[in-house]
Amino acid sequence: MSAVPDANWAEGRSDTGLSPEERAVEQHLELLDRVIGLEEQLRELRVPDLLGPTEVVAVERNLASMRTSMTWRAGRVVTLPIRAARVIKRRLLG
Amino acid sequence: MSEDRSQATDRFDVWIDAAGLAEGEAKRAVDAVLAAGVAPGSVQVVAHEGIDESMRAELAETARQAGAAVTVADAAVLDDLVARTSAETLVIVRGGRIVPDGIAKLDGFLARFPAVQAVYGDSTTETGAPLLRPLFSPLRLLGNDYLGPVVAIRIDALRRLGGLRADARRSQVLDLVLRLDRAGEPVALVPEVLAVEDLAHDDYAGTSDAQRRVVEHELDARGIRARVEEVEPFLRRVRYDVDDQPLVSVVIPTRGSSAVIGGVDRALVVEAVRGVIDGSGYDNVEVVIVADAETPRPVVDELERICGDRLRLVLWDAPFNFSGKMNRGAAAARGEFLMLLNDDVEIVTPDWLETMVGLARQPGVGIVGAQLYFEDSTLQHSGQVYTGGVAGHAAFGWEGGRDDSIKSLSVDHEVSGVTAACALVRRDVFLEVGGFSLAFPGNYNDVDLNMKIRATGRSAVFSPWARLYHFESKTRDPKILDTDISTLQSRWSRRMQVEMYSRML
Repeated sequence: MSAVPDANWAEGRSDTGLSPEERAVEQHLELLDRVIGLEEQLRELRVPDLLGPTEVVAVERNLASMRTSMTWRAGRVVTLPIRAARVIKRRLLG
Repeated sequence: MSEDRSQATDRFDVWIDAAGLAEGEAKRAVDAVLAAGVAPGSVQVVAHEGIDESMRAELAETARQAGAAVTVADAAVLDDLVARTSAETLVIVRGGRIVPDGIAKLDGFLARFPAVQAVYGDSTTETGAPLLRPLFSPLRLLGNDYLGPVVAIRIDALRRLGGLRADARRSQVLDLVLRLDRAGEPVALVPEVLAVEDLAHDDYAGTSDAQRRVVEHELDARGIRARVEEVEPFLRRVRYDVDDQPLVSVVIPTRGSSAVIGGVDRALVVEAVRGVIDGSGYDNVEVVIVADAETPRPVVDELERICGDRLRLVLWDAPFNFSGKMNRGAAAARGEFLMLLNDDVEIVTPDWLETMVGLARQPGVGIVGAQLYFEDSTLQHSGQVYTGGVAGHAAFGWEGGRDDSIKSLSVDHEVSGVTAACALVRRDVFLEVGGFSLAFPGNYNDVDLNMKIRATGRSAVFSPWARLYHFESKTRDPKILDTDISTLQSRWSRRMQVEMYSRML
């Protein structure tokens, strides 16, 4: 890459900014995105069925595949004492 | 076989399309259907006119031995079968064999999702190689009948459509599914293997041409003006009419950098804009350059010389934020469409804008992306892939000309998303979804934009016919921040878990 000079190309020009209407559009975009972003965060947390039929089945298959993998099974064996201890603790302490 | 299973298979009629079958294949196809639990009396071998006597005799003998029937591929005859059946679902098998649990899988899916009116599924080759099909992609279907060997349609939906069209002979499945989609009847992929596909199956002389006629009829029925061109047998390019040339605003953020490309030092944005103005066949464009304060004056001067009064220069004098720069450009733009473009690109196909505008105007399409190549002509972008809550690129690094087994890189098709290095979107859609999010200053802003657009019910579409070089380094470190990922996942994580459009790339 070549070096770029420090001077501002827009100095002395009056036509390089946004008009008030355009500035309003720019601000509207920012505000709207924040609203949509928050709405989508809520949907992620609250809506149970975000996926279509095909995706639901695909996710279930992925999950089933993961649970039959050697990695998963080995993990279950390794964590067995901890899980057993938790169950015992819960039953003893209520 | 359990009683429940037997009852389930009674609800299915199966038609085996004999078009293009080689000697012995019909018997294997019928045997496979029976092995899947379908009653012989529910199986029809559909013979097309023009087959020779020996094949006709083979089909008759195959049907007789199995207790099935042979029928002619005549729309009126087939409609009569549909009118008289007590089955709930019609399964059409073509160019392959249903797997033993194929009917059970169809039955389970259709029972679980009663709104779905037609389904298709994955298959394998004879050697077991997977042929994974995309989520239902109506636009892709116009270019390629990717539905595979097994398609199931609810009988009621078939009756609502008014049965088969006589003019669609040899391409009835494609015609039915396109008409179902036009009627708003949901079509879905069963993401499980339903069939073993016979890749040697062919019938170029009849079927490919019939598919083209079906697509032309469908476009006409939808009121879409377009031309259908054959790329190769079974593969079509639809050129959508954009004769009225709506204004496109090409929005390019830049700091006026230069780089050595092909041994020549060049000002990137100047060459990109030169391609837009001089290297494109599309005339009605304005160029909106959002330039950092340090952009060299000679670069600005050259842009003004190339564009004349089609240039709008906008200053960006804040800290780097790609999203902010693009939003500012969109705010200044006047076009009906925004072409979001990086400054380090070079246009390869002069009709890139016509292609992308044509696609972006189709019903339900929200954003359109292009095929991007690295400087060494390997693939940089052929659509984005979203899986596990993060995003990547389909076919990244593939050599040019390589394709997958379902021709994904030779047909316009729906994708999870497209890169903002070159993306076309209607300006009103961009404004409707709040443009790029300032929460993503450098990375994932395009992923978020795609997801926002798709959340409105619109699709993201990739076209292999709009091609550009993108002089981004293959080894570029995108410097992804933890906040990039956490913000993206807080908005979309559950909807970015499984990639369903580019499963073979």
